Amino acid sequence: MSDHLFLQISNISIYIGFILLLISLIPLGMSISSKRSSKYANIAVWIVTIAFILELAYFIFRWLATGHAPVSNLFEFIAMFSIMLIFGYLVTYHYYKTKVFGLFAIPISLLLLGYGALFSTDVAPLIPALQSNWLAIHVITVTISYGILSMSAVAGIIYLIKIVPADEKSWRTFFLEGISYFVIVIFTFMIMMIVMRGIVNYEADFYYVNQQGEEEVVTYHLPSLVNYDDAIPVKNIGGNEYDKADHFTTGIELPPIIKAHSLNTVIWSVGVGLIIYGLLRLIARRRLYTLFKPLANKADLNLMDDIGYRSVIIGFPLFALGGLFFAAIWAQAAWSRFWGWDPKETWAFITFMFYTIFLHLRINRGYEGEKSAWLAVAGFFLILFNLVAINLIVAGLHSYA
Amino acid sequence: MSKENEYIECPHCGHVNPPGTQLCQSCGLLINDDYDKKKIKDVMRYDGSAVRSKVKSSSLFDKIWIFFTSIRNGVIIIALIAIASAIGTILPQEYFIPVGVDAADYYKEHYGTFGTLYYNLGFHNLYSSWWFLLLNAMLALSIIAASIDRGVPLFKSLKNQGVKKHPSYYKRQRIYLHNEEASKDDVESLVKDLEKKRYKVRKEENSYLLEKGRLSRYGPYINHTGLIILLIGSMLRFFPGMYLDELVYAPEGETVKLPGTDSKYYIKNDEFIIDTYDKDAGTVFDKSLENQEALASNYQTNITFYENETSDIVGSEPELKEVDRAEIKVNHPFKFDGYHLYQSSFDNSAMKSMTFEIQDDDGNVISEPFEINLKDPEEEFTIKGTDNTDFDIRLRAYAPDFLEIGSNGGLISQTPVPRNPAFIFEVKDNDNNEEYSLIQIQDTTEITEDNMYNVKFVSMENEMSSVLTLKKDKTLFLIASGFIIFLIGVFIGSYVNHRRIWINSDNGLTLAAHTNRNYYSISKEINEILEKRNLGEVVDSDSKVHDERMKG
Amino acid sequence: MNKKARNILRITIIVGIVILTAATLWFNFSSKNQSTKVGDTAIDFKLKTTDGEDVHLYDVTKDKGVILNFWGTWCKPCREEMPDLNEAYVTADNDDFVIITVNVSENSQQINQFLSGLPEEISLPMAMDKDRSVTQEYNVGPLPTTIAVDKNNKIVKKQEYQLTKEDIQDFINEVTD
Repeated sequence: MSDHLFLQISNISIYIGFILLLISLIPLGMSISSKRSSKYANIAVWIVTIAFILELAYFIFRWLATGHAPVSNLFEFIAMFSIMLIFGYLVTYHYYKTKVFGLFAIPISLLLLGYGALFSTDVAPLIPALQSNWLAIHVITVTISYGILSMSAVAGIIYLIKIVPADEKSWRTFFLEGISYFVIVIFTFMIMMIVMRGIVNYEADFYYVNQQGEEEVVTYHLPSLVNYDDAIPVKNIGGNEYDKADHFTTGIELPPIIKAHSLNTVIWSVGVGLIIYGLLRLIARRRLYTLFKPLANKADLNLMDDIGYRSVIIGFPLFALGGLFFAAIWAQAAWSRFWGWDPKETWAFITFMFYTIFLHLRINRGYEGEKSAWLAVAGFFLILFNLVAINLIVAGLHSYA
Repeated sequence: MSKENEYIECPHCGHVNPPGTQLCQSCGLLINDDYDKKKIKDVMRYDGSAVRSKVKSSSLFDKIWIFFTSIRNGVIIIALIAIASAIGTILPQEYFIPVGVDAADYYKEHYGTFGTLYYNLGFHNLYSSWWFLLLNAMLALSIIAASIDRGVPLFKSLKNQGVKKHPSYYKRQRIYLHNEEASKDDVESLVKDLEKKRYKVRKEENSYLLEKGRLSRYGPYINHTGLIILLIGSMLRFFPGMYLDELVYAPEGETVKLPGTDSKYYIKNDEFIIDTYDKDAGTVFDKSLENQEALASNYQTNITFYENETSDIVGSEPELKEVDRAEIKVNHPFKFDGYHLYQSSFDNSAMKSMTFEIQDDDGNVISEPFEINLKDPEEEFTIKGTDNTDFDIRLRAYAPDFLEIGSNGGLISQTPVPRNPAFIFEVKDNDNNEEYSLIQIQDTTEITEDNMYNVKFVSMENEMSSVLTLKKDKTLFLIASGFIIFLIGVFIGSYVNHRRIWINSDNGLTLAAHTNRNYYSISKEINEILEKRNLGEVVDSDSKVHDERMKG
Repeated sequence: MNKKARNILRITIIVGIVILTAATLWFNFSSKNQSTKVGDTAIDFKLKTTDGEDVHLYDVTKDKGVILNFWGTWCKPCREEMPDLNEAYVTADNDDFVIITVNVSENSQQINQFLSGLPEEISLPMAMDKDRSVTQEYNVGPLPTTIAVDKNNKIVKKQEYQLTKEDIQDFINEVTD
């Protein structure tokens, strides 16, 4: 069936796009250090543009294969967000010809895409509530706005790395280094998942009784450090039958209101991440963000501040339009209430208020420069929180996973 | 010394300005240096107009007003609302817990002491709590006060602005150029070129004012107006008669009253239809469909819609007149009289009827089956048996949700809902032998001894009920238009830029320009034209100042 | 804008917002605390009894006080107080009142099954509120709930949960004063 063919084309496209983006970092980096900077910059931007077109192809062919816009599960949404980050970068480059910017924006996009690929990439048909044109309109507009708003965070991060001294002892160095640690935790998580699930195939099933009093079996891909109350290690012997088994567990048990298997993954990521962070710190002999200072120093602070402001000024109305207005229209048609204060809607509202504060603070209060950069970075984490935490942790009408 | 309430006459052009104005509305001369330089860093932000007059003899109202005009206070209110909203997501709100469950119990049971605390603080209904409403009221006041305080003077200033500006005004702007060698012809062609860039030109003697995008400055005030309309609409929701949101539980085949309509409207659930995606259709979805239970592709309720012609007294029998028939699908509600009826979900967990048959001691079926309705059970059945016998079955006792046997031999129920039905059947054959047995789910107890006839369970039918949502919303129009106006204001304010260029040809070329955003772009635009005639180049003077400030 | 006009504008806006906020808070508060209380007007209703007769509240209150008892056969305290209610009604020398039982949501099979299991014969009118419309209008929460309505259709007494014989007497006194 041609649908299968479309799906294959789609998967190949995004795969190649990913590789190309990785490759593009080379000429991009060279354009900064070398004398023939514009030649390398052109090559880099061409490669990025082709990668972006391939990512669009992923999107279009997946749409053709499934009959609906590919923005209906967590993987698709993260993929879309990651693609829009590239879009945001290309737009920024078009106006400002920023090269250092790309060295930060592109890896963030790739990291995000890699993270998203860990979730189910299967295509699924739409449940009745999602069958509406408004699905595509709402989610596409929101991801475009996210892509643009995120540029302010990229500008902010570059700004902060440049401006925050390497050896000061203060809150700002602590938080900036905290961001480095966070990135390492994400990497750790991804590598652990790839190794434990893909290579080692570690699977430990546990039987437990969940919040609603129903019986469930959960599969652990990392050795159990925390588990559910009275969980019993089992193994699948076919169909829905399970036998008792012997899996590693520390014996620490938590009430089922906490998703123990997710918490387990978090503890592993944070813990191993801390070890890796410690090692890197030892090797580097200084704070990790300072390693990026040579790059950041090439950026113009004025320009970064300006990009930071303009991305929000352009992205904010789009976010209000897509994330609130279109979402409300769709919710009204699908669930008969355009606003229900559910966690996803509420956090979109909080994000909206956050950027409102950002813009208002810049009006009178001299919140330009460093303070603005911090706010921009915080805004990006807020967007990530919306994306990940609400979908994964809080179940409900609105979550994808 | 300017007194607070006195109008200021400009010594240069004679224009009379409102109290507190910093730059003369007409010619732009600095007429009042006595402004708060910490609060107002850029005099051109509001075009030199008086943002707030500080009246010393403030009444309480003045003090309140001034408090709410402050952007800092507004930001604090916004932050408080955001934080409060976040708190409401920690635990599910009351309308997300299962229907019919007692709230206090639910929070205590599922979330322990934290849950009880959350409940006692009222956080389970945070978004309609009095303090959340109060915060939003303060937000409304802040928006109104801040907008009037800044918007009105700004509007007046932009409306009254003169074309001829004092030389100090030119020098004050971030973009400034003075080229003594330029001729009057040069200046005229310059103006014509700029006109092609959609600038509106006003001329007075040797002075020009080129302006475009003024609407951009009013963007914030337009979006604030939209927000106020939205807040009014939200507020009206609490007023009686404006808003309705009720669940309608309609079992298939039954006629139910629509709640909240004063018994005026009824519907009959003619049929409930559910379609699921086919797992083995050979589509790309096969793999993910394999991993889950049947995924619904469509569900709908076909209804007959009735109007009650005698709906005055509660409880009276309705006289129903059929008005319409409809198919209600997800995303496609049925509309009538300002109401919308939505397909929300369905419920087939309730039991509807049970079918029994009579078997002999060897397990042979010796009668035809009989079906008993669990909500309104029949009391007597006459059924045919094999071998030309007839059975007379009577329901001696029944409990829909069996709890225990009563002191008088009857069956006591713990709820009126058929969840765990129990029956005492009397079975009488042609020879008038009466046998009694107590039938429960998976449990039969003989009451008379050595029964020949055993009542056996054959099957059960679940009741399929549609769950619909009835909504009426008179506030929707206000809330929607409020937000649309907000969006228009925010797009106009953000995507359009207000640009003004003042040009004077008294002494060569004097040029100054102002924009509310993006000096880089307006510099580029002006330089393009200047370059064509070799008249010089402009540079944003603030970029150097900017650099100093940026150094952390 | 001169000072006077500005003051008027400011005061109007502030006062306006305060009034609207107060009204909103009031409506919000009162809708959450909806309940029929003593002093409210009893809402008129018309229901059928197990005998097939009509019971029309306002018709009855034209000449008698009414005690409404909301109950269900699954509710143990309701079952227990039913004979007491019947006895109080039958033995009262006062003719000025009537006790009407309102069964919530059940069918006649269940009610008759319950009644036939009782030693005494119940002479109280047994109204059936099958779709709970009257129960909902009266915001009845727990069962049993007993509400006394005087001849002016005012609610003069309301009590939730099982009544003692003294309680029943109090109700009768309230409604026949």
